[in-house]
Amino acid sequence: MDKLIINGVTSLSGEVKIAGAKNAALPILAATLLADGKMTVGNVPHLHDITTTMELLGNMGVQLVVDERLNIETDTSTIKNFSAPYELVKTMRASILVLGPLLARFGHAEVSLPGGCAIGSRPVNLHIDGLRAMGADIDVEGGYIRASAERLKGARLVMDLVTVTGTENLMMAAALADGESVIENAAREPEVVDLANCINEMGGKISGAGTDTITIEGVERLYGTHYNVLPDRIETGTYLVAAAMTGGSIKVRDTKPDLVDSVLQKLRDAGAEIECGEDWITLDMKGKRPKAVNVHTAPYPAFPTDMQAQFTALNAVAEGVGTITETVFENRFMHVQEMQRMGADIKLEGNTAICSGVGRLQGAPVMATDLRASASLVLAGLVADGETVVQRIYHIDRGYENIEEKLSGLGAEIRRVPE
Amino acid sequence: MTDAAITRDGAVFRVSGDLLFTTVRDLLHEGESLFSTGSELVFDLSDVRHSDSAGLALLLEWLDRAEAAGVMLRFRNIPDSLVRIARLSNVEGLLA
Repeated sequence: MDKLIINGVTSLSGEVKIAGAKNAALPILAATLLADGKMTVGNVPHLHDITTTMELLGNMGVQLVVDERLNIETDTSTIKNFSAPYELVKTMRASILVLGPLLARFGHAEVSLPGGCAIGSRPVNLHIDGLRAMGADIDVEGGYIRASAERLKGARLVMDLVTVTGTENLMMAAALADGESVIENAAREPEVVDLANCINEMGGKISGAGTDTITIEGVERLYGTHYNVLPDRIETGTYLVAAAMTGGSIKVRDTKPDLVDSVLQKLRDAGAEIECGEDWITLDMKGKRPKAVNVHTAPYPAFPTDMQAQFTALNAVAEGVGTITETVFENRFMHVQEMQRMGADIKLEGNTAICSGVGRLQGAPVMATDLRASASLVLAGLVADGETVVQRIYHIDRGYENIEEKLSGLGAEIRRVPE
Repeated sequence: MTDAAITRDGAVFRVSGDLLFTTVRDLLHEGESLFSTGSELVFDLSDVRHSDSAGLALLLEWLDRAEAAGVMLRFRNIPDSLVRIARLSNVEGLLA
């Protein structure tokens, strides 16, 4: 297991290229199962879950070729089984995304329940209930979801909980169903829209993605195409916050500014001068310390919960007092304790973190507890005197492509060492 | 046009051309036939123009077959593009 060692003080400057969004790439790779003929997916991030997805598809017999630009070509004409085994699903819960496409295209699917997920738990049930409503025959036994169907039939699918993977799974299944399906209370995230755009380029007929009602007119066949995954909005926001915290000036390239409107507004509130082009954003703090901001997380298009920890780090060193209110997940302040060990003045009151900025933090050994918490500790290390050692960084590696290389390219002193 | 070849250059064998899905099958056997020429072999890849994951599969297969034949096989000047594919595939360490 590796750890990251960061020496603070540096003001970040330069350019950083944003990778494709993992949360869009995973469903789009699953959607390649729907395609008649070869399909290529570009702008795929170099992350472990992508490798796992390739292994999952390869294990089914899908022929995969990665070209030198890291486009992934899939050819499903060689598929020989329709199974996602426990060994792979346990390492990546998103494996359940193959359930809908396998069932819709091939009439069979056998997908292990995600590790740590009790049978009958609500999120998995939403996938299963939706597919049953479309006419699938589904048994859950021995830790596996076993599904079969003749051609699925369009249905009205009301999600009693907003779920991104549930929406995506049902949207993929409905794309090849007979007739019209309507998903109500659908997730509105940009990654859902990206999947819908991809399916439409494959010949699908999906409208309303990005709203809470998605309408899918099923088609008989979908075709292979080339599709580039949209940029990662959380990676974009993370590097912008890193620059803002250090009083720096950076340009993020190959991104999409409208994906991060709510984050850019908070960064402007923090004193950053921001300019945007079609696929780039510049942020300049002119060497100033950021001002504390108040953040309230909520589902897209409001402020994302996945940026909350990074703004906690920003507030920890900002001028004034800022509050971070988390409304999406419970217990998502695990990073606060670690930041307190670095000298941050943060009080937790229920689901709100009240931060009084202290100017500088002190380097310390800290432990990452989840992906975004880990990233926030790396950011905290950038503005800490002395050495910060972030342990358990496998969390970071699940969501950030080459984070130490990208931060080094911006002038940070950061290195990866084996633990 | 895509082609690929192995040519001898002193103690080193130079692999050139495109290591693609369409070219690696022939190259696999051509390379393997060299494993009987010595106990240590060096393949220099600086003349490789393009490669995809089939190129990576070729290198790994050569390593596997070389080991079975008792030959120490090393690669030099692996193209960055191939290293990136190896990294994406979590097998970068096997090429070191």
